[in-house]
Amino acid sequence: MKNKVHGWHIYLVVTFVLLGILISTQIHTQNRLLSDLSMQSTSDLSIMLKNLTDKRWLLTEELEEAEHNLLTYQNDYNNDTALLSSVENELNRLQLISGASAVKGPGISINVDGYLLSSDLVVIVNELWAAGAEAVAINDCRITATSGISYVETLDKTYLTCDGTVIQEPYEIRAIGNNATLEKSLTMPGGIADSLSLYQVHLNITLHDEIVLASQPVQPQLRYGKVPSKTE
Amino acid sequence: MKKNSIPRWVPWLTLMFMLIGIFLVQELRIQSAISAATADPKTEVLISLITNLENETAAQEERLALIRQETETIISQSTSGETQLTDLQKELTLQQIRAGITALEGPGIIVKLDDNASGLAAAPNDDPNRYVIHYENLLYIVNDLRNAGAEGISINGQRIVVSSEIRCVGNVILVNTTRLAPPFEIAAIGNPTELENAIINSSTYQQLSLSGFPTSYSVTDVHSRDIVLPAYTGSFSTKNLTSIPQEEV
Repeated sequence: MKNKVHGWHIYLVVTFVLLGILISTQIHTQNRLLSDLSMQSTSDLSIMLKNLTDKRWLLTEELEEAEHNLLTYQNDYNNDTALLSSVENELNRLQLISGASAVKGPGISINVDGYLLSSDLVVIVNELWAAGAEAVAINDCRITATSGISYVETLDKTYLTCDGTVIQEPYEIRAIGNNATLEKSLTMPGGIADSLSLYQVHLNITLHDEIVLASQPVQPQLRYGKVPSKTE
Repeated sequence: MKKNSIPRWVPWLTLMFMLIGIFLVQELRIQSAISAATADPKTEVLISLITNLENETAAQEERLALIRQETETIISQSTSGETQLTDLQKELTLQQIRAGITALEGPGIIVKLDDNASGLAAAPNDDPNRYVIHYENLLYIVNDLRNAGAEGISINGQRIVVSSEIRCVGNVILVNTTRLAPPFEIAAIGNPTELENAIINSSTYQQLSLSGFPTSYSVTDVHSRDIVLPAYTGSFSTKNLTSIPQEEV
């Protein structure tokens, strides 16, 4: 009796095997579900399409310019004056991007009213870049590729920091770009302004035809990173 | 065996079949949802447009990277007697590195994060959103690494530059408008000890580890050049920017 294999034993084994297969396929489908394009809503897909269209447009413009520059470099290889001005142009452009030069242009300023967390600030800055901002600063702190946002705590107060320097209240975030697009990205329903207002934090946004952003005063040298040599 | 007694395997089998039934129904529902979504002609058109544009922009990026490389070579090779030009060339190289349009290698850290698939498997009826890596997780970890002095960062081969956005549309994570899928590998160049401390103390990393997400990190020796970040191949928009002297700020 004890060691006999009953008919229902086999049934049970078969059933469990089936059950296992079903559970695993379901998990598999659920995983696929979440990030697969076919599972995104039409409106999300439209957003992605718009972003990609913008990206293609920007790339087309940049490619044209880069090709033109390359041609100049190739033709003026031995013409110091021409080469000098080409190099200067490209240098100026990179300094605008990297934050090495102060800039002005159309944009928005955001005055923060309420208790803002450093993580909120990270999200706001990220949102501005996503909306096509070309330069961003928090008070006098120009955001660069290496800028970090954090906080320091004293006994009675928490201070937000940007690049290790305390940002004094009131906080003002400035961004240059298409000012209507920048504003909309923050104020859209369910966006960052909405979610912050739940915590009594209010973003007062002003559109400017021209706004000024400081440069990053010190450009620290790279101490660890190197450009890989091409011979390798 | 008495005639009217139910054999004991009957309730077992009933239970099993019931469970199978439940899973089958759910599976069918998911499958029909998928086919409903893909069957929508509008969705299908959008998806094909998206994939076409992705391929097109990828080709553009490849070409841009090539042109940048050629330009760089020409500039660095043009051995000019003019010191003014040499100085400018040096400054240009520095700014190119800073902008992230060159590859970068050095010591640092690699952080790996993945969706919590086993957690979801253990609770198949729970909200799946609780078991996936969200864009905020990546955004906060990038910020933590920047606070620790990271000189360059990339996520799944996408170099993070000043204007890089990390966002999600629906359930898709995008960095530099490029779709990324888990597992995520965040690589950063900088002081390995400081970067490691940043990850150990990162509330995002801690929270993910404690909630059962597969997380790990590895640091290199301080003299290593094992971390290699690719160059940013995208564009920078500057059409609204005008340079002004710092005194005018």
